[in-house]
Amino acid sequence: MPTLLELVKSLNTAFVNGDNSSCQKLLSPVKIELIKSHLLVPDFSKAQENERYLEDLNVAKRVLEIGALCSLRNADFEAYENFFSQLRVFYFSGIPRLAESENKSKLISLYLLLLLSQGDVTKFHSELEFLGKRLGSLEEDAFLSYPIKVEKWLMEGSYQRAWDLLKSESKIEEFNVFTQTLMDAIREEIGRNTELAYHKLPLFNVKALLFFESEKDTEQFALARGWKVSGGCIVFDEEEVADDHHQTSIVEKALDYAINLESIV
Amino acid sequence: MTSDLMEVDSAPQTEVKTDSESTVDKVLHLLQDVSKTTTTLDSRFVWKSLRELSTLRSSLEKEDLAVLVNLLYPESSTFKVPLLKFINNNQKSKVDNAEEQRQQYPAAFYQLTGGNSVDVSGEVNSFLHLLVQLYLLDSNQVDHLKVFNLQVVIPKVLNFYNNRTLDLINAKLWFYICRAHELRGDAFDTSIRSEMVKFLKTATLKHDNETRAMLITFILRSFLQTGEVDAAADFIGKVEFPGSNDVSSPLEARYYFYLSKLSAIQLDYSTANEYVIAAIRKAPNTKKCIGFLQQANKLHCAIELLMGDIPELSFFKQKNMERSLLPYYHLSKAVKLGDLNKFTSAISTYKKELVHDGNYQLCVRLRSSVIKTGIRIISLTYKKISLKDICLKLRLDSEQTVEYMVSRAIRDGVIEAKINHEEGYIESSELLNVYATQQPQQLFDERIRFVNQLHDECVKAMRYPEDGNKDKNKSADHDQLDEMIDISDLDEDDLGDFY
Repeated sequence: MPTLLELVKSLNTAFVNGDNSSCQKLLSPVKIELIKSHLLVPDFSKAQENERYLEDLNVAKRVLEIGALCSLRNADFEAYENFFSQLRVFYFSGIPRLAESENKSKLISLYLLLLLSQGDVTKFHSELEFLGKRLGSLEEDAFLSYPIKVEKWLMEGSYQRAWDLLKSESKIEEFNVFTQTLMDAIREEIGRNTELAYHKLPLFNVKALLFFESEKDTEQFALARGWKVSGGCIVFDEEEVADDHHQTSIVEKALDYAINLESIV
Repeated sequence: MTSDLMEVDSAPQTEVKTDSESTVDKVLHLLQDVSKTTTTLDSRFVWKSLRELSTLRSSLEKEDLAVLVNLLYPESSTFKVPLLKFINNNQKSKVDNAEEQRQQYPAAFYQLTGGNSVDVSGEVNSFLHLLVQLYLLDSNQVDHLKVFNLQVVIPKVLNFYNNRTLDLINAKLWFYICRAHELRGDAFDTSIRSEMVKFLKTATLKHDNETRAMLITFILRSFLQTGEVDAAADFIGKVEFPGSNDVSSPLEARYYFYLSKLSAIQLDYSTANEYVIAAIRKAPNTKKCIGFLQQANKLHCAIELLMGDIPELSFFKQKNMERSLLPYYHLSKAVKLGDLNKFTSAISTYKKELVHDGNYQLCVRLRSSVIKTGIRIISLTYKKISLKDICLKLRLDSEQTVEYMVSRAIRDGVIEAKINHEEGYIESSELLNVYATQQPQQLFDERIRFVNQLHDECVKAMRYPEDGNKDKNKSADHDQLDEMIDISDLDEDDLGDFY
C-alpha cells in the first residue's frame, strides 16, 4: 500500500506530464487517504495552531486543484463542480496562507464559465455577489474578467464581441473547453432574437448573423428551430395569440368585486 | 411622566443628582409595568415598556444601572455579580437600606428559585440585561458588549428561562447581540449564526413569533453580508416567516427588504420590486428610521431601473433623501438618456457609494438597460431609421452589433419593430392603442384587489375590547394601550440603529 506522500508525488508528476488518465486513476486513492488523515475537510482551529497541519492542508488543496483541472480536461463538469465546492472551503477560509493560490482565480473563472455555459445566470450572479464581497475588484483580475466580460456582452446583445473573444483562443487552455458550448449558447440566443425581429431573411444573411461557415449548417440550424425555408429565404411566421377566456374572466372579476363590496357594506 | 421627561432632557448637566434619581425611578416604574405581565400574562405591558424605553435610553448612566442592580437583586442572586462586573467592574457602590427598599417592591418582581431562595423574576431580569446592553452600546463599549452577550446574555438569560411572556424582550436581546457582533466588524465570523439557528429552532417550537422573526431577519442579513446568496435562498425556502398579525411591522419591513435584495441579486426583479415596496410601506415613517428608508429607496431605485422603468423626478426630491439618492439620480439620468458614456462615468464616480450600499453589482447590470432605452427612444422618435444612424447615435462599434442589439430589444419587448436586413433599416410597427388591449382592465383589477386586501388587513389588525365584567380601572388602562397599538411602531429605533 503506497503512502499518501508517494501517491501525491506520482499524481503531481502525472499532472505535469499531462497524463490525464493516470491522474484520474490516482485521484480516488489519494482522496481516500486524505479523508483518513482529516485533510479533505479542513479543521481551521487546528490549522491556526498547528504549522505542520497547515502545510498538509496546502498539499490537500493542491491535490484538489489537480483533480479539478483534470476533470475539466476530461470534460467531466460534474466532477469539476464537486472539486470546486471542496476547494471553496479552502479558498475562503479566512486563513491567508490557505486562501492564497496561484490557481485560485483561474479555477473560480472556470467555475463561472461553467455556470454560463449551463445558462444558469442566477447562480452566476449569486456567485459574483459572493466574490465581490471577498475579492474586491473583479473586473481587473486577468482571469476573472474573462467570464464577466462574456456575460456582459451576452446580456446586452454584443454577440459580435463575445464571439470574437471566444474565437481568439484565450491564453489559458482550460478556458477553451467551454468555447464550443458557449458558442452554441450564443447561436441559440441570436436564433431566438432573429425569429422575432424579422419577417423574412435570406439564408445568406442568416449565415452571417449566426457565424456559420456554410449555408448547409445554417439550413440545418434553421430546420432544427422549426423555421420555414423557401426559395433561399427563411420566413418567420408571427404567432397569433389566442384569447378565448377573455370574456368569461371579466364576468368572474365583476362577481368577485360584488362579493367583496357586499362584505364591506 | 412625560413632562418629567422633558425636564430631564433639557437640563441633564445641572441637576445630576436629581436626574440620576429620576432615571432610577423611571426604570422602576417601567419595571412595574413589566411585572404586570408576570401576573396577568398579557404581553402588551412588556410591549408598552419597551416602547417607552426608547425615550429613556439616552439618559441611562453607569451609576443608575449600578444602583438599580444593587437595589433589585438580592445578595444571593447569581445574576448580580456578572451584571455589576460589566457595568462598572465590580466597584463597590453599595446602596444603603437596599434590603428594606427591596421589601417595598411588588412581589411580582421576584420569584422563588429551587432551594427556597428568592431571585428576581425572569421578566425583570431580562429587562435589566437589555438595559445593560443598551448602556454598553450607547457608551461605545462594543467589545465589552460582545463579551457580555457571549458570557452572560446567551447562556444565562436566553437559554435559562422558558416563559412565554419573555418573547418580546428576547427578540430585543437578540437584536443587540447581533448588532454588537456586526459593529465589531466580524461579518465573516459566522459563529453567531449557528447560535442563532439553534435558538431559532427553539423559538419556532415555542411559537415565539417575535424572536423567530427577529432571528430569521438576522440570519438572512448575515448571509447577504457574506454574499452567500444561494445559502440565503435555501434558508428562506426552509423557514416560514410568522404572519403579519404576530410580529411588529418594523421587523416585517426589514424582512421584506432583505427578501427584495435577495430576489434582485437572483435577477427576479418583479418580485424584488414587490418586496421593496412592501418594505417601504411597512416601515414606520419617523425620524429614527430614515436610514432604513434611504437604504430601501436606493434599492427600489436600482430595481426600477433594472426593470426598465425610470423613477420620477419627485422620487429623488423626497424629504431627507435628496443627498443619499444622488448617485442613483445620476445613474437614472444616464439610463434615461440612453447615454453609455455618461453611465460609465457615473458608475466609476460613485463606485464607492454603490459598493457601500451593496448595490454595485446590481447597478453594473444596468448597462444593458442603458442601451435598450437608447434604442427605445430612437424607435419612438423615428418611424423608420437606418441601422447606421442608430450606430452613430448610440456610439456603438459596428452595424452588426446594432442589429443584434435591436433584435434583442425586440425579443425583450422593449420596442415593437421589424428589421429589414437587405436595406439595413428598422421600421416601427404600428403603435397599439393601449385601450384596445386588456392592459387597462388588468391594472384596474390589480388596484381593486390591492384595496380589498388593504381593507381585509385593516379589519384583521383591529383590536376588539373583550366582553363585559371587568372593573373600570382596568378597562381604562386597556383603552390607553389600544391607542398605542394603533400607532404600532414598536422598535423604530432598531431601524435607526442600522444605518
